Amino acid sequence: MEPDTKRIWSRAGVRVSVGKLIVESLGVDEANVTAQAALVSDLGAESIDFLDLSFKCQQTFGVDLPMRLIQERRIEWRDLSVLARVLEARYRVAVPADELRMVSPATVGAVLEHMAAKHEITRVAGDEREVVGALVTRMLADLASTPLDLSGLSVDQFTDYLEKNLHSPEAVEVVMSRLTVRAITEYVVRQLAAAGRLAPGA
Amino acid sequence: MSDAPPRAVLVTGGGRGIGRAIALRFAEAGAQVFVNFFVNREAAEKTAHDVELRGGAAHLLQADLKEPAEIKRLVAEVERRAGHLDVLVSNAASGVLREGLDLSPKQWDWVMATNARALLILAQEASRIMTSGGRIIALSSLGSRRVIQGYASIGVSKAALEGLTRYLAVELAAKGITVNTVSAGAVETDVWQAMPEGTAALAAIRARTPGGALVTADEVAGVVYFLASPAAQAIQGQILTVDGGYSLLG
Repeated sequence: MEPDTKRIWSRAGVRVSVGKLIVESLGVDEANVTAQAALVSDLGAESIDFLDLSFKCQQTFGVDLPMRLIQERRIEWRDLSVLARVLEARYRVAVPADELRMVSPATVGAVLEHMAAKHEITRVAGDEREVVGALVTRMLADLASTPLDLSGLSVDQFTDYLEKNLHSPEAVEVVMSRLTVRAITEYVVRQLAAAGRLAPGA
Repeated sequence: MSDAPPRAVLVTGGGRGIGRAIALRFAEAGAQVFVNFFVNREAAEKTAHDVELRGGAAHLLQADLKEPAEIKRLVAEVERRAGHLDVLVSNAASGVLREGLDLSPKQWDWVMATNARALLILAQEASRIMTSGGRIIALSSLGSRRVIQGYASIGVSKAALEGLTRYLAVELAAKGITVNTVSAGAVETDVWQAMPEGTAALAAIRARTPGGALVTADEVAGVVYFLASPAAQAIQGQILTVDGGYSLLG
């Protein structure tokens, strides 16, 4: 019932256990659970699997695997509340996210046209790309505390997707592809190390 | 001030939303509240803290309710700490928002196990450590009787839960235990935020509700608390709809 929060783990032990938990939670073959495997695109993980995996991680390591944070971030992206914050910071105009969601097509360009017409913001050349860039920066910063491994992520590619469509499924795929077996292992290792529960030299 | 010992109350899914409101309602009466949670420990810890602030005693118990062995461990832990159980609130629910034709067997099994079978195993285990006056109260939703888009698995699991309520009520009546279910209308919780167009759906439900207001988690908790009271001893095997009259129309 209560997780073991005293056990000291080796890195190798964490790696083996994370692999087992993924096999159990997703019902996949052990052979497919390689370090590089992405949970969603390679192993077919879905929301209920993430719940199982989070539960098992807490029970096994005493470490919270905050998959719900990724879900919460995705909801904030989808409802455009992140974009609303970016626009408020840039233009000093508070526009409710639900107003932004009414703009069609769902692009930053269309949103800025709407802002100019309804809220009298002043547009300048290149502002669309700058807003998308600020949005991407904010979105990626919001994901920093999750198990996603965002190192080396092509910000330009991410920006391109969002410039074309604020609800770009490709942008979500790019992010979710960073949820790999290795990323989860490293997340657990970092949490254990922070709690002083990683064996020295492991 | 009553001299009666504090009641031992187990609330599954007690960390958030309606479950949290129920835990806090019993805490106000000085109950010993066992707050069960699945993965969101942070929310459950906050609820446990708030239970204590409101005069209750809180215990956090993590368990995966789709696993019968976990439920047995959960109730055994309640028995170890409290010696008995007065009120079981079977509130925890999980779901996959998909059309019925798109559901996989795995998704179906997950939802049925978590939402319907859990009540069966919980009742089997909890009734063992309950005496006369014990209460089992489950939470359902309007999707058990009405078709809500994308709600097939949850709606059917709630229908099973409501049917089970009646059978358990008859089987446990001789022991002086009542079994009832509260079928709540739409309550504005984080679950709705997770749904596409959830905010718009809530607004539409609010507009269609005769009183023009959504049911609150506190209102649902108040009804659960009433069902757990001695005054509700004669209410047995019922599905009590708490939706502000929403389901009366059309």
